[in-house]
Amino acid sequence: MKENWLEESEFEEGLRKLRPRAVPPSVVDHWVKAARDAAMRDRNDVPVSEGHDRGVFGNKTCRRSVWLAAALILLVGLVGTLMVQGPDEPGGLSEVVSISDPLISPLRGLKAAEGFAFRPEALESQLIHASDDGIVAIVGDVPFRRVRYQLVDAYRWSSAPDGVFLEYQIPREEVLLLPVVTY
Amino acid sequence: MKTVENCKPSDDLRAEIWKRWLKEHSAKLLLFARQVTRSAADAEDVVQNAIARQWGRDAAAMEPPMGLMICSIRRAAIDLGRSETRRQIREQHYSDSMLQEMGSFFEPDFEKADQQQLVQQAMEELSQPQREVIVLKVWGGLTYAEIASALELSINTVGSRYRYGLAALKKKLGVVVS
Repeated sequence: MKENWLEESEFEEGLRKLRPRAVPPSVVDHWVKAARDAAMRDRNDVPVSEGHDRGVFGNKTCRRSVWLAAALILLVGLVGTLMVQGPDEPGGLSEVVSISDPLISPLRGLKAAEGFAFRPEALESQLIHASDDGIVAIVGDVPFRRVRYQLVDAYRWSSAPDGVFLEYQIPREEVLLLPVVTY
Repeated sequence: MKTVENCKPSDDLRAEIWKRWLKEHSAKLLLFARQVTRSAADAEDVVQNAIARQWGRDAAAMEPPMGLMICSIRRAAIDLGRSETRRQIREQHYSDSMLQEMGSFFEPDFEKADQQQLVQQAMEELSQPQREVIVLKVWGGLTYAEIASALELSINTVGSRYRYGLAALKKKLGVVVS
């Protein structure tokens, strides 16, 4: 041991230079995988309280978006049906209709609206950004953590008999206030 | 396009962030775990246990919270110590291969091998509360306040444990060297 360790700060500095034994990356990978597996097992055993882990239709925000989209589709379908009834619209509709603004005219020729049967086919939630605001409140003994997920939901609805499908995207932000369980 | 059932955007991203964080901090956590357990194998067990607990308990944590992780490691070590079966297995294991169990605290370094051995030996002679604080302050890089929060102690207690522990360590190392 060197003599300059006699000074406390130098002594600490000398100790710091002895680096703790590193953990191999494979072990870290194993730890995280084991943690995920354990959480997955728990999730199958008991209901999970956090919204974003319950899947899209189990999530209240997503479910609300789906219902909103369904209402929008019905409204657009209704408008389309009313407009189709006019005799001045002989043109058909191409196989694929891509609608960015549902109130714009492509639906004017939507003959399939008579048997309107769009069904939700797929929903892709893409995580754009996630941020953790940390512990923001303590209620009683329970600290609460606030996290923000910014997502873009891409919906796809299709009408099986016609092969027509409808795709649209809705950006949204989920702000969750989650209790942190401490030991 | 994924099906509706498979939309779980945060899990993979979160795992990646946790891996990156752990690659940076796992050495510190493991060194701390070594201070509160009796063997390297037990230390690995409690760190893994703590990671699993934190992953499951705080599903929104994009990064493992260092303070809670340390708290979890300590609790897991206490649970492990209380487990009669584990204790018997461990004691059996100790008697079989004690040297093999007790690996070095530090990254192998030929030039500092002597220092490492002396420091580890001196550390092992300190009391556990002093070792905990010294490891978290010196190698964990935590402040007194963070250590106090993680170990559920007052800042004054942490400060005094650190000062007395460091003084004892210096004395032991001085005696050993002279």
